[in-house]
Amino acid sequence: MTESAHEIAGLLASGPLPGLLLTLAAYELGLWAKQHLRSHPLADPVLVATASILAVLALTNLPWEAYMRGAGLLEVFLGPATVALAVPLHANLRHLKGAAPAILTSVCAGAATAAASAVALAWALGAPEVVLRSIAPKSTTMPIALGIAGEIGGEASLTAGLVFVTGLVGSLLSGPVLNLLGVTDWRARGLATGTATHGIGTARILGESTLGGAFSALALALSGWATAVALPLVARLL
Amino acid sequence: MIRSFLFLLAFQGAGEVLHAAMHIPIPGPLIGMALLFSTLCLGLLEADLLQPAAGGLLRHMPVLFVPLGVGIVSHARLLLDCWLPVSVALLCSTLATLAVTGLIAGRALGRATEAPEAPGFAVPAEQS
Repeated sequence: MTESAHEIAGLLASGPLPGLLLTLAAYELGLWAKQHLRSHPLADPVLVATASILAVLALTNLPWEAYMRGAGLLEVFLGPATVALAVPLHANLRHLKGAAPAILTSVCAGAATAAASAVALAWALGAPEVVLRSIAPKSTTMPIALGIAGEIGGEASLTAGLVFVTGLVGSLLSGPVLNLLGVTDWRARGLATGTATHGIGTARILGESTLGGAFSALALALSGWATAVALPLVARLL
Repeated sequence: MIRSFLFLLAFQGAGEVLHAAMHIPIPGPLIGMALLFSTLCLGLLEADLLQPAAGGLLRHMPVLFVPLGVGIVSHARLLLDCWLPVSVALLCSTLATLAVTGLIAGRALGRATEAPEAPGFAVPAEQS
């Protein structure tokens, strides 16, 4: 009896079902937490889902590779989702007209701040060079960051982790920080969120304001493009 | 649903082709986003055609980042070795970026009152 149960478990773990099931269930739990603990800043669906999946993996000894067989399927949708960001951007087209100088100035200043301050701080605190090269593109969207890391000699897997933590921490902080600074204009809030926290912050602000989401998507694209062009050039000079 | 998803994939594909063929250092999906934005602006495609897939993907976009977060465990050791410089750098840099971008944008856009929500495209509230 137990033997066949083990067989069934092994059979299931060799397919994509457990990883997919676990990810969606954990995300539902995160949505539930967000709905019922609305006031708590840590009740973020991505944070709750990630933490509970890590806990389940640790408790059940489900190998990481077995989890990724299913969860990896979701990453396929990141491509079309990124393309889809053009739709809210277009819907808010009339808000973009005349705002181009403000958008370009703020996003380029933000992108330069993101890369320069991260590298300078990590360097001052004694991080090894591979970390410096991996942390530089941390505020850009995942595929751009990985491309830049490869270009300037960073470690791709390390960059992926740093990009994720930046997006998660930034998406939790952006609302309170912008409130504190008195930035109430959803356009400015979107630009700051997209520049500092890429897709994770954009996905979050989209749930609060379409206008903020559109400007966040725009900032994500512009800062990613600017960083992808500038960082390899700067790295070559250093 | 299928047709709108097909459009998104086609634009991603076009972006990937441009990325590979012209050695543009920008990932395919972001080029695809720019291509789709231009196509919509030129009026060559109705935004409503994309709504079924685009709305669903954007509404549930956060879940797509969860596997990436779980993936951190695969290089936890490298991060643990220098957790202090890394966490200070990430935190301060993110705060500085939010402040610099938000303050410059807020000032440069003028002290406009809260701009109105655009009609036509809305991410519907999560239904449980």
